[in-house]
Amino acid sequence: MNATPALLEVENLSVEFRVGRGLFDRTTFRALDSVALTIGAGETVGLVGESGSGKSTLARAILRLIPVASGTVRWRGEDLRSLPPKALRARRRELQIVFQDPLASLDPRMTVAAALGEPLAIFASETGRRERRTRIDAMLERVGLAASLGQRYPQELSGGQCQRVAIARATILGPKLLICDEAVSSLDVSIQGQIVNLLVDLQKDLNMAMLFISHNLAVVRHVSHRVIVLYAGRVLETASCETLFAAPRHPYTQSLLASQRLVAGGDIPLFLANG
Amino acid sequence: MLSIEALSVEFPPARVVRDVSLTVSAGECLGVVGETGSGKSQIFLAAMGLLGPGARAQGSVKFQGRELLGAPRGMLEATRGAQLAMIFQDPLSALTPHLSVGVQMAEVLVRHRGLAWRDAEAAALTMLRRVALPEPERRLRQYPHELSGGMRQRVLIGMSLLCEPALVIADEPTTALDVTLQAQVIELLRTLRRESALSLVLISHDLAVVVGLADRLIVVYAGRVVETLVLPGPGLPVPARHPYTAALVRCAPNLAAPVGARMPTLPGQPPDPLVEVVGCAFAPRCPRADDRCRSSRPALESLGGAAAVACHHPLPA
Repeated sequence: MNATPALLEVENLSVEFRVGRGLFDRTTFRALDSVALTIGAGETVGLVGESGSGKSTLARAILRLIPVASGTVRWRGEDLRSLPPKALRARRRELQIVFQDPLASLDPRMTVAAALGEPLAIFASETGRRERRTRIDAMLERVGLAASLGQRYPQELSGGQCQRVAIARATILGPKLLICDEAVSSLDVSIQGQIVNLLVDLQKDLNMAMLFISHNLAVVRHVSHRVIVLYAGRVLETASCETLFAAPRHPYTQSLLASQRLVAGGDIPLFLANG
Repeated sequence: MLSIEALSVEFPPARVVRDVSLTVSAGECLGVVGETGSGKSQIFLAAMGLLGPGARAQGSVKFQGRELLGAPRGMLEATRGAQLAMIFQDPLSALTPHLSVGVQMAEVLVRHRGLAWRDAEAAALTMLRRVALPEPERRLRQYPHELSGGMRQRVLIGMSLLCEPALVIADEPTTALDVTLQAQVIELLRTLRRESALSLVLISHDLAVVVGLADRLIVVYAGRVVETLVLPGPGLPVPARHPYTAALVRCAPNLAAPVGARMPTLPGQPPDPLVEVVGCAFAPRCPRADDRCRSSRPALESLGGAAAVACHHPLPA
């Protein structure tokens, strides 16, 4: 149905961690078990599941931040796992990630402008100082921050502002895939919506794909084209966003939705007495 | 039971709680909502004498008729844990890492109730059953890091209830948990309230969680109470009059919004506690604000019953 080839194809991916205590104890824990997923250009795939289901492990395995036991991760047709370090580095500008805790993912000794300048210095070193400055200011404005915030340090900003900086840093090179690993989970409800809408806008403007990882189905519903449900390292259900919410097929997905409804205050969402 | 009068908390030069008064009655669940940095937790940390170094608190906090603010350490320690208990957001940092669950639970009863170790351990086991922790005998021997986040929060809730406290203050008890565990903790708190007429203060940034549990709501913005109201319960309209409370209702995550729709938002940032605001602190983010809001701060005025609002242009009832 989709003529364009997939951007990212993950097949049969398994990740194991050693949990044995002794030198010769080779006991392993299978964090991901034969996971398959594809993401097309410009597509947003929601990845849901409870803590420990392997969501973050999958993100790290895709980016080759952790070793995998078996399986393939193909990026635009190339096997990322067998890519030599130099070629892999060149691909990194196309694959970016935003983590849950923005304060922990930004260097406390680097100003906001320096944090945004770093990817430019590495991947677009031909750009001059002045041009870099202009691109940093434009990017800050794009994510809804005043250019004057560039001189501040991460710890001087609010959680929402910090997450905007992390998003700006991840998207300043125009990546083709942005992985958001619980990127709005630690933010206040009042700020969550702002950040989610910003991500959706950037995704459309830059025509980038997103892997949106969250345990919060109420948020996933707003951003995803397709949703993948992960449980104990396995994919239990994949469906279009409409189908998953209207007619979840796996009992686990159904229980996840029931929990979400309970947390959201019951079957009827909150509403105002005066409209 | 708990009565807070004109409480102010400063971390000089920042003023984080400004002239807050509230009461909690026996058997009631009071919900407290507000953003990160609004001072909602500091109100209750001050009440428990748990403010960090450098903090200054003024006003009065009376618990069962006794003044807690500035009370001697011995009295505070006798009250805390026994009659007044607190559940924190992060159960891992609230538990002692090098003591087994059984030892740290039993210790509470040995210290506050003078129980013998054997009796205290038996009571701890009973409590773990009550909070529906699977395999309670095994859990007693385990250490906090061996438990999942949800199990730790159950242990912490159980621990807070050991001495049958008159009041439990739960500070964002579900925030660090995933949706499945959040639902379980909410169910557990509901059951406990039904079974034992527990008095509970539930602090959260998520209004939806509070609406599912609380009888009454206090909304905190920039260190002040901006609205108090009676909650009619899940599935019924929230009678919000303050524009900030109304925004929290609209922003509450739900599964009824159309798939792919933009998320409702509250624009702007919460105010910087270092900056003194003239007028209403919410005015820069408020769709109803005018010059009066920017020049004079509205006082919290009663609307009859338990309802009160601090707004020059409240929403119609």
